[in-house]
Amino acid sequence: MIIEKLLNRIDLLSEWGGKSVYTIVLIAGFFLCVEVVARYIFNNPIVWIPMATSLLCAIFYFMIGAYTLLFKSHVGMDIFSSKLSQKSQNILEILLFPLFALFIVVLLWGGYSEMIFSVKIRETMPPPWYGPLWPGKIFMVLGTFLILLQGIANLLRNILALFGGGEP
Amino acid sequence: MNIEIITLLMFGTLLILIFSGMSLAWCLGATAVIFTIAMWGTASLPIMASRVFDSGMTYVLIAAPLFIFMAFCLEESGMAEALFGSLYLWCGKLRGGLALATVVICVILAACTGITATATVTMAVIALPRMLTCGYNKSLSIGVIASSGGLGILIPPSVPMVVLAMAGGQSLGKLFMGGMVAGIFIAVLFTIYVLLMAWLYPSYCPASEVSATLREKINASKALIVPFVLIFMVLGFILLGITTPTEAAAVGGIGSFIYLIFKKRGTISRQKIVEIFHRTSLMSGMVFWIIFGASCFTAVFNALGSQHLISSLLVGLDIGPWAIVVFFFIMLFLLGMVLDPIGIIMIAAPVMSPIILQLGFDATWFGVLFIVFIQLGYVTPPFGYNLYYMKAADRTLKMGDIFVSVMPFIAIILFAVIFMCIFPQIILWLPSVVMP
Repeated sequence: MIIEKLLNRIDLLSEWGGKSVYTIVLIAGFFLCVEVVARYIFNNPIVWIPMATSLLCAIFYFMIGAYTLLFKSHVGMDIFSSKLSQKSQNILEILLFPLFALFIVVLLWGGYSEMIFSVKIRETMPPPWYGPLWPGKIFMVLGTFLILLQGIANLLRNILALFGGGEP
Repeated sequence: MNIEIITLLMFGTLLILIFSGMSLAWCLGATAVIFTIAMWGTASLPIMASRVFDSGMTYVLIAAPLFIFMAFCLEESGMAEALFGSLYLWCGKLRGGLALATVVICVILAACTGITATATVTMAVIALPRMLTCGYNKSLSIGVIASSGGLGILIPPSVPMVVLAMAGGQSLGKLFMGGMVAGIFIAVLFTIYVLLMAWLYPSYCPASEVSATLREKINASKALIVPFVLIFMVLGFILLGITTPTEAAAVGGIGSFIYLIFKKRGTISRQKIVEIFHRTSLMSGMVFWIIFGASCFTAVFNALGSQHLISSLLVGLDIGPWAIVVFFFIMLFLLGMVLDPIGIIMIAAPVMSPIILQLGFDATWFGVLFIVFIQLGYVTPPFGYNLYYMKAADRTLKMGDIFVSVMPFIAIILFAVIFMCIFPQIILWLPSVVMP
């Protein structure tokens, strides 16, 4: 079915989003270690490292949102909902989707207007580094968009499951 | 409508959403958006995005994914197994020795990692079967593993402390120092309890037959070297003022990764390494999106003036500062039963911390006790991660048995809390010496 193909594409996209950034943890750790050595041993701190690392890590957090959603790792308190039948759980998730979408769309909308502005003026970091800040905003919008897509894919799966056919 | 009703409505909405089972991150975010629209219209909504962006850029939070990464690297490296093998030789002959070894290993692992999963899961897999085959009382064995595993977040490094430092405005270094002593104090109480049980009921924890020469014992003790080097690199560096806690997390994360690659060179598959990144990403994604949702929630909460309202209400009650502290502790205990630890911190810390300061209590003291309650949340039913880790490690265990087994340990932790309220110096001594 064409819709299932589409859903699998979205899954792949979320997975790609996560996999493209998950080595950032290692890179960030490495940079900070370099900074410690530079400052403590060579007495010559590298000012841009902490700020650049903050930016890298922010990109990491934004981009893994959809990946986490794909693997259903955003925790919730499911002690009640897990007792419901599979069908009721599907209905509940469909009913809750607008609330999820409300938050994500607001983030996407606010993030988008910020991004446009930030890219236009080539927004920089605060002193002492003045490095580029605007890529962070692009990734925030991208990450939020991926979350929305994955959320929609999950919604469609729930609907498909409800009307028979499709995977649960 | 006045602020009282709106504040009440806001928490009510949040509570209903949480109980619906929706992911905590979306519950917090959606509540924030709904109340922003209701109070100020849609024009102020773009502020949410900048709040989220700013929390993403917070420097101190970088420590969280790094500590998570460190924990998964060490788990994969088989450090816990080596430690258990070594301590088994030393303590096996002692009555209650295996339970003691469990507490000690959990303390060592807690000082290497910032989450509870590593110690709890690995000990449930390697120590629990050994204890049961030795004829240990089942309840004691489960209880000691589940509750000692919880020490992982109290003894630094600690991911929840990183989040608390950001949400409650405490000094992360001081929290680490205070948590170290508090954690060791609770571990000592656990040890005393185990020894007491071994003395009162010898059949609960029989000695096992270990025959090892001194040479073998010393040989096996090499397993202790790496953990202690790592502990020194992370905690020692902070204590000596060489690194900030964030940089210490980087040193620890990279150190453990190098250790893993070196230890398992040639035998570790690419798949395993990918798995570590995968698990780090999932846990970080969960933690950070709760932080993002909560930072929107707190922004609305503060803009409404609810913070001011709650503090003036509580202070105006004229029930004395200690009554408020006890009230907060009871709230934390109840929240711990149902909510995710990071969620509790992000919701409760911004509300409680300013009030505690206003009442004249020490921020570090309260922060450490806050984490003790978070730790308690890991072992209190019905929603306690450690209990589920135990269940996942051994499917034959009944949830009811696990609940019962942690009860004495919950009592011990509560006793420790009372003790640390009477003698706050236990928590405050080390931070005051190291960071005056």
